[in-house]
Amino acid sequence: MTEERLYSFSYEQLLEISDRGNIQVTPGVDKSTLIGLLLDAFEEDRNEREELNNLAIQMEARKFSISQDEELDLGQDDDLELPLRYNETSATLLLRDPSWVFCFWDLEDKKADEIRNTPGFQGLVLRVVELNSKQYGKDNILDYFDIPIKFSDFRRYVNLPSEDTWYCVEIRALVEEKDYLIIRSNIIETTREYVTASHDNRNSHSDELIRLSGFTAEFGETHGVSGYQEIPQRIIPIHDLLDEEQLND
Amino acid sequence: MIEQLKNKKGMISLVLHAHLPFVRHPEHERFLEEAWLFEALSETYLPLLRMFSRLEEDGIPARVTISLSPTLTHMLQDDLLQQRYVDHLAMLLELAEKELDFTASNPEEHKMAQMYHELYSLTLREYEDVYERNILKKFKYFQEHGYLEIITTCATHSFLPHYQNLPEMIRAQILTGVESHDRVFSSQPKGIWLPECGYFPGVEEYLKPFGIEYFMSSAHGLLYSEDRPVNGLYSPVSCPNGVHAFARDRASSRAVWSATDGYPGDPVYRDFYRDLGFDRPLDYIGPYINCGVNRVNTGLKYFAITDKSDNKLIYNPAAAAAKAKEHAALFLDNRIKQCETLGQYMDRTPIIPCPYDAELFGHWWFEGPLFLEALIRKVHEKSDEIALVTPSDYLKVYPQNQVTKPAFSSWGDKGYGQVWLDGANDWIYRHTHKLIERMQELVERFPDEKGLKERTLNQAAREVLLSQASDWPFIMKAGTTVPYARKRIKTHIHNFNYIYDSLSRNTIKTEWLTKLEKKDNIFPFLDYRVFRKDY
Repeated sequence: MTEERLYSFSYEQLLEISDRGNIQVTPGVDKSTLIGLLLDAFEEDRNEREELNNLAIQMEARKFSISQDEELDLGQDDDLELPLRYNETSATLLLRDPSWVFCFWDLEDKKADEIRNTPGFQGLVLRVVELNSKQYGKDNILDYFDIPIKFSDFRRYVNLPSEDTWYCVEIRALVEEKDYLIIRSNIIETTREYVTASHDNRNSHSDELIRLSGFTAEFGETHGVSGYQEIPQRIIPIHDLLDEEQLND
Repeated sequence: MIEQLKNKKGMISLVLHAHLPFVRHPEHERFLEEAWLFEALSETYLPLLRMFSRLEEDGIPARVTISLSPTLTHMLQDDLLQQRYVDHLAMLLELAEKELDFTASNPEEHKMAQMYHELYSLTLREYEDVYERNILKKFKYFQEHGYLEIITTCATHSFLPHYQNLPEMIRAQILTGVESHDRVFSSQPKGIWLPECGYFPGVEEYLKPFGIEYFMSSAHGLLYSEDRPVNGLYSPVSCPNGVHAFARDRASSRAVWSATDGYPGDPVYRDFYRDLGFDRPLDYIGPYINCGVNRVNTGLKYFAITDKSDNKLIYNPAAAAAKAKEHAALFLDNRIKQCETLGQYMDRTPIIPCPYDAELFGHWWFEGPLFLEALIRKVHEKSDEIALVTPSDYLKVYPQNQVTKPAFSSWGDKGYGQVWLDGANDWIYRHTHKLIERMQELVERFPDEKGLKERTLNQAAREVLLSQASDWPFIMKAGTTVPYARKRIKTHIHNFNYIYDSLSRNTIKTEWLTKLEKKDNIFPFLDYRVFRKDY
């Protein structure tokens, strides 16, 4: 967004832009100051995105960078309102990374009313269930924990305690001292963030080759990419990764 | 050939991924986001073809892999977009001519204006006269003549891990991608680019039935495999069903990708960010930017990167070309050294897979195609030491590879699904998942329709696929043209729901449907039954 471009807008439009961008504006602020605030916020936002995104993402983003005015589209998409929910009873679990899942769910109004009016109803919980296989069965449950939810909740990110295992979520109703299943999600397999110790014995140099691939040789230790602030392409410093003469690029 | 390759110090596999989302707006006279395609055509795809032509003329062999996404190949064949590209070039030529006058008193800038005038004249001439507006024929030609191995990707570039609980959708994305490729290139792709290198264990089961032999993985996707990969990243692994995963080498990636410590950040290269669209007075540049008021990139960039300040030196094409050659030589020397080191520990010739976004070369890194050309020529000079191969060439030399299962991964920030699933974009999945479920319901309700109803159902399937493009959540996360991305997703969901409701009420509006078919005209061959459970 250029300064020139911002000056071409009315004061009301600038307030709308700041509102959309959640930029705090002191009431009665003059136009120049408001524009200054917007420019600072855009710059900060852009820098933040640059810092957060890795190289592959930055590169892909450049395919789409034809304009610096993308923050502004006053003719937005407000005329295309999507339903907030579909009034059905369902739960879906998506794996985001080794430690986090995203779940979204819905309770049909009729069902929600039934539950709400059940004598002794105490509340709803989102139960996160760890399983030992991709098949659900009482005997396959390794562990679980509950997160209290409200009828108005429909989505949540959940931090998972274990890697390399299976999870599903359940919406359960607490009635008196018991809990009842309302809906169970799909089962997802989580992943690992380390180089496994198990290996083929055909190559006794695999430790060295893993190191040359850019990963630590301390197998078994969690040393993954998602915990790093740095770009995933470069998990350990390049000096540790390559021989001295290879550093010239 | 196999023995010769086994005797090299190493092999390099250049894999270029060319993709743009489906953007086509006949309802507007001019549409800003269509410029994504036009810029990529002028700056990447045509320069790459020019490069292969020069290599062919000089008798220099090359083996490069390129994935051309179905959305991109469709747009490249589309009459409307072809005409608009010609109009776009005519507009740039007009601007370049105007610049010749504007810069008359400034010899340095005048040279730049001349450069762009010549470049756009050549581009237009080639596009019209040599390629007759369809550059895919030339890509096909280079595949047939051994320069290229063209592979495919999913129909609309969907990030598959976020749909792994919907097997019909995964299959529909892959099947449609393969079919689109077959129709364009009259051949079955040997490899696939999993969008965003998004792999989840089991995706290979959907690839095998289509004859896919390999896919590209992120580095950690392969290294965190179920069993430790004994050769690190330097030989592929075979999934249990025989489909191979090649991983991205980090050192070679970084050398080319990074704007700060990679080659593209060199001070002599052309500055991507300094564009005439932002440098010239508004009343002068008005006819060449968006609606005459929104400053946008024009593609005419006169300055070199120089340094981080705003005081840029004028671009020197000869110095930049020399630097690109220097960087290519350095890149190759480093890869040879890398192979020598790796060779000490391996019982086979190492392969260094180098996958990149194709649009990096030329669009963002203006000198990228020159770098690639110099690299290919250098490899030819050093062909006794190193070879350029495609992944399927490698599999001919070493068909047996360690069997293991790679791990869930992507090449996105932090390495997994965060880019396509976070607070900026997670709202879409409730809807896109629902669409797939409803599409399956429609297939069950209308298993064998003909005529108008079949057309309606096919359009519904098109809207489902279009809603799943990874580009829209990506853009929402990356923060570029967010309103457009949001609107696109909402529009496809809305279109599908409208069809769904119309079919439920049996009130299909032919005129509306025809308009939509003409607008979202991708995959004309699509059969809605692709979403059937037992398809």
